[in-house]
Amino acid sequence: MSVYILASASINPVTELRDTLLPAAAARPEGRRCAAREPDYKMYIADANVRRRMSRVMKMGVAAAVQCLSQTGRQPDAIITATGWGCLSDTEKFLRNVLENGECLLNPTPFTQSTFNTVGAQTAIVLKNTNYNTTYVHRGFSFENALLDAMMRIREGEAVQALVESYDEHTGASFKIMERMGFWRQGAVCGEGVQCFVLSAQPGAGGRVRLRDVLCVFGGELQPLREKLALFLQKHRLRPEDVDMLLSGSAGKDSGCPYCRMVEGVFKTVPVARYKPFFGDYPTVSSLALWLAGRLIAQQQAPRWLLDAPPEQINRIVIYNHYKTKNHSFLLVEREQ
Amino acid sequence: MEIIVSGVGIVSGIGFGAAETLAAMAGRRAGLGGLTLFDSVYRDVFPVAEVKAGNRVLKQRLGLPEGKTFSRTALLGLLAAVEAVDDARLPLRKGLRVGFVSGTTVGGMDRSEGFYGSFLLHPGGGRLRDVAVHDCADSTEEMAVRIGATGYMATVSTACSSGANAIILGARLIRHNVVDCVVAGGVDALCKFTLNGFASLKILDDAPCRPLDESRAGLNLGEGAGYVVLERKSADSPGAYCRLAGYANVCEAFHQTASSPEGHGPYEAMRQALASAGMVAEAVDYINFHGTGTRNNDLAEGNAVKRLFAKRVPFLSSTKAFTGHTLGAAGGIEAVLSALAIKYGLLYPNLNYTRPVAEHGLPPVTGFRQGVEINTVLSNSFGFGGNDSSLLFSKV
Repeated sequence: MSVYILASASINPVTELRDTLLPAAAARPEGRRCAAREPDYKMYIADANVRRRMSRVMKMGVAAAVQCLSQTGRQPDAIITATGWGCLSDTEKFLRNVLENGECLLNPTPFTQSTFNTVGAQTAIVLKNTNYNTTYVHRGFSFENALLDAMMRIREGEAVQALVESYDEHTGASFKIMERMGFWRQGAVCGEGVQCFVLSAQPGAGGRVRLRDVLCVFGGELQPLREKLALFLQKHRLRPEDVDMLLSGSAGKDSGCPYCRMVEGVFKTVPVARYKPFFGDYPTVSSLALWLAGRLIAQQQAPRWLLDAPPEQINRIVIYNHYKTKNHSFLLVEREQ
Repeated sequence: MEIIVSGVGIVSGIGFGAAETLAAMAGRRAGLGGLTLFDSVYRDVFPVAEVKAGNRVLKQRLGLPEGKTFSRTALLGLLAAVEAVDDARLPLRKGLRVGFVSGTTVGGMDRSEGFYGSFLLHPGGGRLRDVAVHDCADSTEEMAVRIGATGYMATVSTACSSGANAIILGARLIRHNVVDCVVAGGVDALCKFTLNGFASLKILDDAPCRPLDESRAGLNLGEGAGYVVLERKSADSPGAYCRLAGYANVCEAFHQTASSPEGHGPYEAMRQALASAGMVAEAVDYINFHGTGTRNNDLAEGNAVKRLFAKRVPFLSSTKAFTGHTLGAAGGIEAVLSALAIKYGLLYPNLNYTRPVAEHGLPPVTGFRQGVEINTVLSNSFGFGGNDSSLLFSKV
């Protein structure tokens, strides 16, 4: 069940939304947090009143969707959204108001903007799009859930083009709480970002990059993960060395956790790019990796900050990610020859 | 491929399990009462439909260790999910790839809001285990592991249509051969966050809610869970409740928290659900309304029904005066009620009804009725953000 990636857009801590090429240089964030580089929203959401009423994460989601859809020039037949953390900022704002104001005289706006489907719903309202619309909120599977749904809609003939959007934002409190939980040990950086993709069964003018398959594996044991990865490669008649690059979900500079070590070991002859030290980590970060894979394949060039020894050609990329040791996922991306 | 419902599980303010739920329906016993689960200034202001047991008792029912932290959401979900898989005899049927899809609006907020109060006083305050269960997927993973449904899992959050959209995804996962069988539905626990959210929107009624009534003045919140077991119809599938004959998900793209008065979104959800099943409106015997009791919803939904069912309006009622509005669970709970209505030939009363809504005048069923031939039921779930979904169940 493969689909073409017709268009993509990303708001992340490294690149600008309007950038078409990956930068030649990128700095690691100072400290343990990195913030997404927000665009000039006027460029994407013309109505000042609409902009003023939106939260930061809503604006990021809508701006990325508008920029992504400008590449296809067509209404999507489905809007499928993914988030792990949700609209944290408004959730906290409302909760703080409840506690500090003794449940009295509350402004309902942060409540209505705290719901997880806010970004997908706002995107639909701005686009005036009444098609299929849903939101997935399953930790490190949220984006993968959304991708599979889009692939099924396309296969069902219900969607010619599906918009998949992911968003996650962090706040001071969420950073602190996860710090207390030990999330940011071993070099991990707290990140955030919004990614959008237009997927279709038919290739478009934007190129012939295909998302061939998505695999989700639940559970903390290494051996079943190793076996499922082997079966996944077998299903696609691939040997590890047929892959040009592994985008590894390792949080730090080196392979870190046992899962990344195992996966990087399977692909030991393949260049490994560890992107999280630059872009940070969050539940839907595999969407950032997919966006990055599309860019790398289109450019046929990997910047030095990402990879010391870039491969000669970049036609096939495996993305591996895991969230909190339980949600493991693999995405297989390739350029059609 | 025909998708059947082979098991159901339900818990709400009117009881634990399908039998207690139907007994309450027959006895017209609503689940509404005073708030006891947490302190709130709204304690004696707004009636709510609590599941009638504290977390300690819920853990005992489930055989869970008292010392381990679970969100109430996970506990309510576990009760219904375990009932559903036992009902479909899944534990006895080996070799099935079982998936789990759950809808929820606030996940483990019932615990994290307690944490956050202490955290606000001091950044080192609050017990981490209370906030570790905050996210929406925590309850999903607890349930999936307990019922052995880790073949594929997903959590859906589209406000009040979460449970319905979980069921739609479940059916599609089977059609696409991702898994053989899916447990799908929704769950939500009452919490201060939600209560204050709906209070701030001024759409809570301080009296028992009156869906489809001219005097309706808002909704009552409830909590609970409802899951169905979905699988493809085959020779060896056990006695099925009904088929999931059709479904549709649309977005009204009108307003963040309101429906258009004409009910364009509800109309399209119902129309497309019928079309997906290849059925005409006249085939529907009963509509389980979203029917929250707010001015806006019952106007929009009723107008949409009147337009789509212009030739003949089916039996209709909202069951939310029994269960309260259980938000992410509503689509799951009402799917279970729809399946039971078909299997046992039941119609559920719309409580607290006296006068028709002026604009559409649709009269709901007011008495509990059994022995009625119910072949097809339409179940509506409409959420904030215009996420409108309809499920169509029909006799096997």
